[in-house]
Amino acid sequence: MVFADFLRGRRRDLLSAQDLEALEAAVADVRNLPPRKTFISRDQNITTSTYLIEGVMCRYMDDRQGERQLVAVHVAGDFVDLHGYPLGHLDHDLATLTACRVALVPHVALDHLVATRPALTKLLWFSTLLDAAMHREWIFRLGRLDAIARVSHFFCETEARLRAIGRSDGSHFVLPMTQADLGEACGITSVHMNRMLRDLKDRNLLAMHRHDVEIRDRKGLARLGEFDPAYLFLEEQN
Amino acid sequence: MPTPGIHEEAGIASAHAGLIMLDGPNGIAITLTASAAEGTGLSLLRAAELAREQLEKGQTEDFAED
Repeated sequence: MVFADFLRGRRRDLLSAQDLEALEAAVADVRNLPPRKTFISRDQNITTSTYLIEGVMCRYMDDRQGERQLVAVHVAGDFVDLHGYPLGHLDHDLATLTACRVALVPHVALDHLVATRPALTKLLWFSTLLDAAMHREWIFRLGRLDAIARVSHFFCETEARLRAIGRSDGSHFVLPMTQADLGEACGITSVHMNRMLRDLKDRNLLAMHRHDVEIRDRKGLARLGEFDPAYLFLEEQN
Repeated sequence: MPTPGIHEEAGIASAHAGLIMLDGPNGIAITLTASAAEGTGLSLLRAAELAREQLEKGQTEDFAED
């Protein structure tokens, strides 16, 4: 099943079996993508929406010097560019961070779903609004928090999202992002990220070894990062 | 009462791997080379001196709005 993780932990119970079947039938292609590859470029006309089955993708914008700022990180179960359906093209780039498996849903198929399945349409709209809620939180994180708080917040957010889809047990998860990637998500350099990860380890809040992350004190990390998961609209997590 | 957005606490600079990290105040989180840090520090010191003179002279008004 392609959409096994879609809205998992977030109103999945509102997705009827018939709507899920229709969504599955709307998939035109399933592809494997290599890591570190731009998949959709800014301003490129798009006629499909991309659903992430497995892997990690990012949305990013480059400044004039080519310095990258991540504007979103996507995990399994996310539609990564559903907003491109009404917009027609994206205002940012979309790339893989890891090897990924994606499903492509043609916009003409979405037209049919929107016309015939109002409950599913509302859930698709909900999923784009979840993206918007995360973007607001990212604005807050980058605008108001210092480096250690930004990093703490990012890890809390990522852990909560992965737990919703069964990829975190509450304290351990795999996050295949480099320190440069993490820095680009948090608006700091990789050197600064390196220093912050050491600081978090020294405070016994979090440890990251290669791509394995251990959150040692989730409450402490959330407090330091001013993290409140309400904006993720997750069903109650343990 | 402090004005929102005007910080009274200092940022903290630290050195790591031959670079300088400035943390705070508030959301500031940047990495500088030693030269950039020196230049920024000197610029800040000069501006602080000017700001103190302005305060002593009572020159605390914004530019008039157009």
